[in-house]
Amino acid sequence: MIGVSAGVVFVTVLASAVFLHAYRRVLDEAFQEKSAAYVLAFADAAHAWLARGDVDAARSAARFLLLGSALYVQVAADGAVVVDERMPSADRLALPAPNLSGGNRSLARGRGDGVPDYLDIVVPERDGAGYVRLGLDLSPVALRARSATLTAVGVAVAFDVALLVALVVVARRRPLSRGASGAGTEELAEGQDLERDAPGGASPLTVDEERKEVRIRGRLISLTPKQYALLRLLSSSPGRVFSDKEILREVWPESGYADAKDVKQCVYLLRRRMGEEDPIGTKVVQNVPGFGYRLALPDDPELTEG
Amino acid sequence: MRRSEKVLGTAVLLGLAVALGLAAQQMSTPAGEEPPIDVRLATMADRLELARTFATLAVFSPTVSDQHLHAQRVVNLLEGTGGEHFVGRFSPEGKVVGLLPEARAIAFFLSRVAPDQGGRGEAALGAKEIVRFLDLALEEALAGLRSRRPEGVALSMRRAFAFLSAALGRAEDAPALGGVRALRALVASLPPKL
Repeated sequence: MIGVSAGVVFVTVLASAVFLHAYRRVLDEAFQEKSAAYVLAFADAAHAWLARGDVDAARSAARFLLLGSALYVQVAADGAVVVDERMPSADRLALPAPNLSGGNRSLARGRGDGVPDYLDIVVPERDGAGYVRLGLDLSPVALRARSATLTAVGVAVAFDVALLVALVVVARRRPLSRGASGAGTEELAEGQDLERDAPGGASPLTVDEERKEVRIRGRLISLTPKQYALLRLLSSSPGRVFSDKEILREVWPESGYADAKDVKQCVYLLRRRMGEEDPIGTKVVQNVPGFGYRLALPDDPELTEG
Repeated sequence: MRRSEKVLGTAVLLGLAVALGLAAQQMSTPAGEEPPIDVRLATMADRLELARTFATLAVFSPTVSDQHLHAQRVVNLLEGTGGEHFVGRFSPEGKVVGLLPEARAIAFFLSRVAPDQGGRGEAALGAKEIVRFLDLALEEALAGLRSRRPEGVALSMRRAFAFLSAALGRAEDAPALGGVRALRALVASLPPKL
């Protein structure tokens, strides 16, 4: 169980790490792609304003961009920077002159004192004499990645917990499930804990429905029909507590006079009969005061001690 | 009646008289104080270009907050100062005459000036179409502002851009289609000048 749990946790942690790595890359690429389009759109407008000689319009729009993700905006024409608007945090940021020789836009990550990580994008003018340059704050990407990390960790933990709970529930139900040793055979199964103590590795308790036989650690026990019906009922769901009423309904279905005393007596006789064959037999059927009776689970301490 | 009460009553009457006089002067100011219609249309065309630029920036913004910033600017340009959704801090130019109120005023003006005479009827029709396109652009920009998904904002702002473009139009279009440039060309050709 511990091995399975460790494996599940390892697999989910690994899957989360792979997912987060891929997601961060997708976020980065999407941000870069959108940012490039954003700067291109602004560059088109800025060049149009400069062509009309309206530097104020370009400057006003540049200032407006600073209200959003932009840390700085530069517009250059004829080799001179005509608009240079910056956030106070980017005032002292040294921006090296961009290389416009290729005529292609350039994207680069940057970091400076007191400035958050940013994406530096330069879009040259078509004739190559000017350019538009924007520094975009990368904090939103980091924030989204962080929230995705928290979500992924939460989902992974929830998945692990759900899986482990399911494993525990299954493990608790399996020990006394129906056996596969033959049609109509019910056995006190999974019984490995009992079997370990049993001589010759025989099945600890088997209820053969076809032959109406009950064996404890391989030894045949002869039971009356009522004792057999009671044991069969209890072994249908080992560990579950059956009330007197349930037992009466199943074992004495036709009798309107049987009561709790009959159940008590039948249990007493069944225990005594099973105890005659094997000391463990007296402990297989357990009394749950105030509720009823149940068949002991294989890992019950009383059985393993016995 | 005491002397001080008499003085006070006289002062109140004088004040009322001055206020009434000012109001009467205000009411008698001719509407012709406004700039000529072709100048107003040229200003509108410039503002429409600016609104289209910000609609484009809203489409391509890398984050939703940037998208909302530019969408708000478009709303400000459309509604103008005093508009229902106008936010002053996103309007660096200060007081803004909204495109929609201006278009409505021009449409009203054109409908009053001899609507049954030749091209003037067409001009009034075109001005009403401009108002409709601007209404639709405002609707889409507000939808963009309400959306929290980047794709949703981008889609709304693309539509807003399309309606703004339709409101701007081309000079060679039929004025009845509802373009400011076409309306401006028509108004310029009407004798006498409006």
